[in-house]
Amino acid sequence: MTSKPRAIPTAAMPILVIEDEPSVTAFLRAALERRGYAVTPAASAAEGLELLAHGNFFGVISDIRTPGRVNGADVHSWIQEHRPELRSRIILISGDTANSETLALLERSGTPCVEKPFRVQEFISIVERTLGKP
Amino acid sequence: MRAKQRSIEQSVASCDNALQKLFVGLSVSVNADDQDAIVSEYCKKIRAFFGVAGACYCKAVSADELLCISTDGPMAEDFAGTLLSTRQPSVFAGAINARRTIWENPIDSRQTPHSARSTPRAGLATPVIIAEKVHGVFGLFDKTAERFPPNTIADLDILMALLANRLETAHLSQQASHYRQRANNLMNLALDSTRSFRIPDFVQRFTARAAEMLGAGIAALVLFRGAKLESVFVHSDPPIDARGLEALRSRLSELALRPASQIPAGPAELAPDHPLSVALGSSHVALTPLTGSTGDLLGLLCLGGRQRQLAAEDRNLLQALVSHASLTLENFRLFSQIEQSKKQWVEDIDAISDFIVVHDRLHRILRVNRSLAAFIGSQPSHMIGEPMSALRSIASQATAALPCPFCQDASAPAEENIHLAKERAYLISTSRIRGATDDDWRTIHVLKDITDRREAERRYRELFDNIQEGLFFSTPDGRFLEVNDAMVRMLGYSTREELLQTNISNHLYLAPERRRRFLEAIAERGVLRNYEEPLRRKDGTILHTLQNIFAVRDAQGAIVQYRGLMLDVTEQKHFQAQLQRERDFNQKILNNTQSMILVLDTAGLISYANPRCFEAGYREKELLGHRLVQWVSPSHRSGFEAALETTANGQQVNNLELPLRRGDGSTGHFSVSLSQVRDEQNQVNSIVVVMTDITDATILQAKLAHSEKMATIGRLVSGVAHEINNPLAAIVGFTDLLIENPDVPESAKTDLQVILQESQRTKEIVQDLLSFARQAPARRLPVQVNAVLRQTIKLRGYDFSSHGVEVVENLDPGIPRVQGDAQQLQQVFLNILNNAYDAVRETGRPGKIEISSLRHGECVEVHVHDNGPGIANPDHIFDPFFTTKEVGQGTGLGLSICYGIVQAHGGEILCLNNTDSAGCTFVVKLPAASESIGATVPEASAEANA
Repeated sequence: MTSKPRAIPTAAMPILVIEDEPSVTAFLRAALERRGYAVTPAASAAEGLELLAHGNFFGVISDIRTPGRVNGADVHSWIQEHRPELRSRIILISGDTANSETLALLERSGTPCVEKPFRVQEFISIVERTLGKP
Repeated sequence: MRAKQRSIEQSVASCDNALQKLFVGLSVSVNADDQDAIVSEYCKKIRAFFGVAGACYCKAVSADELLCISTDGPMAEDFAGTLLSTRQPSVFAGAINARRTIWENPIDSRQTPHSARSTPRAGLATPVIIAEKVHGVFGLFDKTAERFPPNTIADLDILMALLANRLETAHLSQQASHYRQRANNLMNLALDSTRSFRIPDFVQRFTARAAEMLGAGIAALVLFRGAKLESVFVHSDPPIDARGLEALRSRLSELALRPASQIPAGPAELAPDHPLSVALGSSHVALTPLTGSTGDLLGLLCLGGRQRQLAAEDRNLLQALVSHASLTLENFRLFSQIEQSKKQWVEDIDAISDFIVVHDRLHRILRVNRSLAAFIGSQPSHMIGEPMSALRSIASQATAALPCPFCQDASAPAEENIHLAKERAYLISTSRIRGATDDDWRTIHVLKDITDRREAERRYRELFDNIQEGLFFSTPDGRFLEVNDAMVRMLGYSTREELLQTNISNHLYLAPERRRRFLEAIAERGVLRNYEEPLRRKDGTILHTLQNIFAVRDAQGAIVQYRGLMLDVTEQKHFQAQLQRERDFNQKILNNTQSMILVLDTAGLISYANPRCFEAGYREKELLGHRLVQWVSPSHRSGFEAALETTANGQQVNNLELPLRRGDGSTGHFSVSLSQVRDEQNQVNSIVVVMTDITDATILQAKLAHSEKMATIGRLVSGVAHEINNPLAAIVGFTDLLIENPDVPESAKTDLQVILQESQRTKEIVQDLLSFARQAPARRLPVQVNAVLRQTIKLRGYDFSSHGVEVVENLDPGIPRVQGDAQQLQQVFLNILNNAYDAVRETGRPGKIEISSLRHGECVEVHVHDNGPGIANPDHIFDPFFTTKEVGQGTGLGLSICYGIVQAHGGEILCLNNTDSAGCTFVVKLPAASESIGATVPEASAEANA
């Protein structure tokens, strides 16, 4: 997987939202776009990684548990290695308690995580804190 | 004698014619040997010549007696047989005393014998002298002296000289004849002995001859054999009567029994009063012993009826006769012995069933025994002189052309070979005797029919070779003399020869001392039965053998051989070892198993109980001989009896669960399996009962099942929670967006708030579910339980006191720390406290909650005791969604979550209704942290964790 030249993330760039549940994706998109963020959805982690490889994003919001072989934690790991500019621009969403390994990873890297279900204000404040306002 | 004859002839020549005529008449008449006839003729002719009335001749029969033996003429005829004494004076006595002719006229008739009718008046008496001895007196008598002419005396003297001469000649002639007779008898005796008479014939003849020769009227010969009377022979003339014979036999028998010292050494005269003399009725009895060459007594010859005593000459003759007879008897006996033994020898040879044939150098049969002759169909005597080829019928075809079918090497002194002919086998032993002449060369063949023996040998050989057991003959120095194939195979050798060359001690025995032990054992006992000895095969593997051996000894008793039979028991040995292992194994199982194993007989009585039964508290006397069913709780006895019945009928019963009285009287829950044991006839003869106390296991199993149930629910809940959270996230999110939306009317926003509120509740339920489902505690750190308890109490303290619920703390400061997650443990305790709070509030009574901590073994226990209403189903209180509370008051997951947390900590949570008062008690048992056992840890450190 070859990468395009890295660009400093700006608010003009979309936020990559990796979420397999369409209703949740719709809600996240509505909440973020109403706050002025651009959103590029991906229905699976694999699709998300494909988009990451070819495009520039302001940040990444990913569900931890996603269908397919690749999950949110894998996306996190990939970014740590291949997209240093996005290293601290990741927000994970968990549907239930993730396994203890993932939890330990999150704790070590300090990646923010929101648990479903969450309130819009709570979510937006974490996004603004992590990525900055658009 | 010749000179006398000449002088008489001169006297006669000078006589006259008449006298010369008388001489001639006297010398040619009568038998010259018969003295009586001569005397009688002289009396007759001289009386006639002188013409006198009487003439007589008186013979001197002893020194002083005369017997008138012949008379002639009337004056002398009554005088015959008269005995005269020469001591009384008479004309005869005068003639003897004067030794010349006496003429008396007249004579004294009183002193002179005469006839009754006429008395002599004159007499002449002339002595007849032969060899200077008076033979007798010749007398002439007449009435008057005138009848005697003048020359009478002179003529009478010449005549008497002539008579004397005639008598002497007659005597000599008689003597000569007598000696001739004796010589003849002796010669005949010698001839008798050489003729092959039988002993009785010889003895009969000898006895008769001896009697004859020695002038005995009766002769008896008694023969001995050893000290035994053999036979008695009697010769008697005239014949003796039966009674006399019997008396004689009995006297002789008595004599035979006398000791040898009482038997005379040579011819002896017996006294007239000797019993034998009496028996014979004879005064002159001679007894002579017959003695063998070695001096032993062969017999006794007894001669009686003799007229006179034994003369020296008779003694010599007798001695000679008995010596001769002794010799002959001995010879007879020896000869008869030889004959006897020869006869016996032929009988012996004939009695032998083996064939015997003797032939000479020209292969002519000299002798065959009866069995051979019978086999040929002939008589032994008929075959003598036949050629040996006559025996071809028992010869094999191959040797038919030879002169003797049995001779192989005629020069060998002895031969032995086996001869096969017409389905018979003979062992021919040949001996050859060589002599100086052809007649002395003899070849003896003994044919032994060994057909049966060979057949027997063949059978034994076959048995020896083909038997599957090893057979051997060996020597004390460790070599095999003979082994069979089975033995070779058993020991793994390729050939018999190879095994025969093997040293037993070095190669077969595992160690020299084992061989020594064997040698000692067999030397002592002679026979070893079922002797076990492991031996080394050729390839080095071990052969286990079972041997039966006996020792063969020589005449001195030294062992020369061992003979024996060997069985390969390697497999049995292995099997035995395996059996032993199995037995040990079974025994170990029986002894060490945690199960109680009993054996019941068909009547249901206990005949065996393994050690575990007694370890479990049962006593031997309570079990053995008693019925097992008595230990079964009464409610289950019929079921147990039915199970026994089922088993006895051949159907095994497994894992029958029964309440049983234990040895200590308590009742336990047992799993019982029954299986039947069958005897050789396949009849069930006993029942094996295996019983396991599963009381604890039953509880454990229930807990395990519960724990499994919990885990399953946990996984289910986790999945459900995830699925709920996604739509819930959308619901909450869009509701928030709607509320933010200024276009939405306020009234709708109130409803939206309700949606949010219920969504929030849903979220909490899901959160609880997830907490319950969370499998492993996140942390494992040493936790001070008392600190966690105090903190928890503090959280709820205000609420409790404001609602009048008394909280009593009874914490043991010495309890060790536990390994775990303080927050989770706090959640557990909080849940329990909340539960207790809700319970005591239900009753309306003043509530009291007592919280205590204590150490119990390796565990820390926390007890939360309340005085609430107690719990209807304490067993189900930890099940998820089980709640006693009203709907909407709880999710029913709280205690399930507690259960999961405590389980994950390796501990245990229980809920027990109080036995002494109302309410219930929750017990949480947590294992003490290993590094803190026995150590008291400052409580402050726990605060930090909490």
